Amino acid sequence: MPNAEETKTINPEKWIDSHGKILFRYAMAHLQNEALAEDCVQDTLVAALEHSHSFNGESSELTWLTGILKHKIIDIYRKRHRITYENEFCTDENADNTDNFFDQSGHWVNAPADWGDPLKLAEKKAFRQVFETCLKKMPASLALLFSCRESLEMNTEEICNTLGITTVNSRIMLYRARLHLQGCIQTNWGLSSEIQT
Amino acid sequence: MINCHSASRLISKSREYPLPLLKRFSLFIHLKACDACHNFLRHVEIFSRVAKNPEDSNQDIDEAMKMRILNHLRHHQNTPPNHL
Repeated sequence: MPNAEETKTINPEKWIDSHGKILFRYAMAHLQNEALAEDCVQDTLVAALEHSHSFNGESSELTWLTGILKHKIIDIYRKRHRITYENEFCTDENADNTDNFFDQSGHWVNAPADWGDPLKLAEKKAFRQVFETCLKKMPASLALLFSCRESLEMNTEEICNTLGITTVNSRIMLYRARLHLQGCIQTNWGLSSEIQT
Repeated sequence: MINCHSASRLISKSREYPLPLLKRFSLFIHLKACDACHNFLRHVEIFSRVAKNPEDSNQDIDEAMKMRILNHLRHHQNTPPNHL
């Protein structure tokens, strides 16, 4: 039987009323799929119920729930990218394979061009589409790591704990992910901006 | 002076942690002279901005969804944790 204090803390109905909207929006924004987002929020609250003893009150309830939600989203990313828990990451010791982006003297093979105003660019739908496509095109482990770092805003420690990689490896792989995006978007952005009305 | 390969690596690293003073300085000098790396720096910021702010959907959690989730949770809560 839970004691009085615990009963006071565990109130799923209150969770949904106070945080359901924010959690669902967060899940929707990162998954773009209503059914998956609903499942994700549901799984988050179930996990929160099961581990309510681990909520120490140091962070706010919402921060705690969002932390759990992030892990649920990562699980879906993993499935999307068909990444298993065991492989992919630890095998990437030779991850600094960025040679094909630079010539022997260390100059860009395909020099980053001026794409225009960054603020306007980030708001353009067509640019977002190219970005998403390029994210899908890059090696799955890089895309997952990049999403954890930039979309879910995890810090290095969280990333290393969640994905089981070293700090050095995560930095090298993020560098590769950014080079991939640079190259892929540079190749495809010009084309789609012509199509755009 | 550092080359573009090294400069781009520093640009990426600077998104993760504050670079040591000397490296920051050598990157600064390189960026003064190199448009390509300057563009890469801006692009890396764009990638971060786009990834952080996915398109906000208009869809919201509705009452039916709330009830489904709540029922699921109640069911779960009432099931004794009988783990083997």
